[in-house]
Amino acid sequence: MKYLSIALLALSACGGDSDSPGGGGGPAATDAGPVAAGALALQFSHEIQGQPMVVDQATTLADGSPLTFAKLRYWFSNLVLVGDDVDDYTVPDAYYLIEQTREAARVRLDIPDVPAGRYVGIRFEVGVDEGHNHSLDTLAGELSAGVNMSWNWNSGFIFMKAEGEVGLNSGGFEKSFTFHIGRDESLRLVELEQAFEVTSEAGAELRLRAEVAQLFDEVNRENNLSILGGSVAQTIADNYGAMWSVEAGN
Amino acid sequence: MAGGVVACTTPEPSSFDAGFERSIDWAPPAFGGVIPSPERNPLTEAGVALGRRLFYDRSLSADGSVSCATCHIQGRAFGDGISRGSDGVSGQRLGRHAPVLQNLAWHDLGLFWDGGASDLESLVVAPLVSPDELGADPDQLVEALADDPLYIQQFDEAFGAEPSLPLLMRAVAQFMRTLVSGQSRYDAFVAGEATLSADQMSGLRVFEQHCVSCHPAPFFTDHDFHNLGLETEFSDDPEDLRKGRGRITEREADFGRFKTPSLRNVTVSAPYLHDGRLYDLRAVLVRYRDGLVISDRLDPALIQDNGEAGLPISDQDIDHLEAFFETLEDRRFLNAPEFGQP
Repeated sequence: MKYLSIALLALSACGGDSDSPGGGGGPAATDAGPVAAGALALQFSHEIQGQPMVVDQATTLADGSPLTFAKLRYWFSNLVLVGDDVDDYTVPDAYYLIEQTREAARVRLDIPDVPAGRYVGIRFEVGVDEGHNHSLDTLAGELSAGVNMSWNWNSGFIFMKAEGEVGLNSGGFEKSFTFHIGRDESLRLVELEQAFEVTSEAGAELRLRAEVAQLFDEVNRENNLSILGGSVAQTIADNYGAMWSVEAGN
Repeated sequence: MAGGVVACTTPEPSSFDAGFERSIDWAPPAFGGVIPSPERNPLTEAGVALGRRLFYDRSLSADGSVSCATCHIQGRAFGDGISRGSDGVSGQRLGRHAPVLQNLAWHDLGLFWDGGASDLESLVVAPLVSPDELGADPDQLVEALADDPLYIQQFDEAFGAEPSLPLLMRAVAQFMRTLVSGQSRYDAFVAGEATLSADQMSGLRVFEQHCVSCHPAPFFTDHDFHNLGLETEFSDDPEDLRKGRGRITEREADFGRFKTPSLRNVTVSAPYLHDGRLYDLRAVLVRYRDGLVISDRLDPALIQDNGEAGLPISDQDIDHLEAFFETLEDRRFLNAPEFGQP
């Protein structure tokens, strides 16, 4: 319980002062002087049944139904590195747009100034926390109302967009799907265990795998697949909260 | 804050003079004496000046033909005088009536007819990028602003930063917050500085009996959402617009509820209602009397004790209400040079 409240404190501290121009933290410092720091690279791997997802490339779900992604975009936020022999490290201003579309691929983050030490895992959110989700002029991280990842008529960020075509069964019939998921209740916290060490000499690398076929778990593909809200959106949010695994890179 | 206090204690009638020196966040004493702003975006002279320039700048739009002021005209209390305008870059008719812009700093239940915009800053981006309004590409727009030496200077003075989309949103929000209308004849009357005619006084009494539950002074709106039975079908098309507040909350009880418009400057801000369907103020009042139909959704304030729908007002009451509404016209606001094109 104590651990949990400390974690929440760390999250809210991250959100608190990130909304000022030129804000954002540098490396942590103590009375003893600057702490040795290194870099952490996060490599995102969006996969379908263990194979890399390629935009516009036909593939299949586990039941043989055809599946093609045209677009995958989401806000990856509030990243915390869970310390072993060091304090948990809350990455400052951590709001990143991760995407794979026809126009853009952004599947790697380089986190600088991570305090050196041993870590046992990471924690992050898919989506945008309530404190930042309703003011579209926020200056936090990469959040922007100008990148088609917000609802301007109902102020809030779209947490995830997934679009493409999917089949009902292995018979081959395909229909388009459009998942635009947002709103506070769709925020999902992900906690993953993986030991890694950051030193000032050698950066660490983690491979974050997301099994994106899992987005369709418990979703009835016979129904309308234009999902912008409602209970199916919560199913999809549960799915994007559960699709992750991590392994040490390099 | 200091300016508000000074204005409060200044003897009349100078508090209603146009040329009185005021701080940028001055508001009438009845409004609390100061314009409220979110902590992250306080009003500054430089911010308001920048916002005003942006508000009137047609080059913000996709083809350079449309500014905010195209559909928000000062002399009409920053409405456009059209039921559902088609002056955006696409020429397509909008789904709803362009709302007036006045006293927006006090709208604490959200902006737009359905309250979907959580604050003025967030609101700005919607008409800016909507293909049927300014149709701007945010990246290209920010690039163009960053190519303009005067804009670079103004963003620096206002925010100490280069032009960006969020800072543009903040500047325009600042300008809109300064659009305060609270110096009508009615306000002078309340302050003991003016009288009303006999008809206007009668109208005030009718108003206090039948209208204040949703249009309370000093803003003449409760900023809340009510159902007048204007919409009876709540189809998904177009874009759930007819659902009103229910479009935002997804609660069926909110279907068909729309924000109460202020009655300030109502004489110059026709047409009326969320889709601008009535151009005549008298027709609106007659509708309140004769045109309402009992339904599960009709706001209870519009149902009489005897169970009938509509306000029990006579033709003469309507005459008097119209006379009273004239006292809410704020000519200072409608002509203030500091709100006009820079």
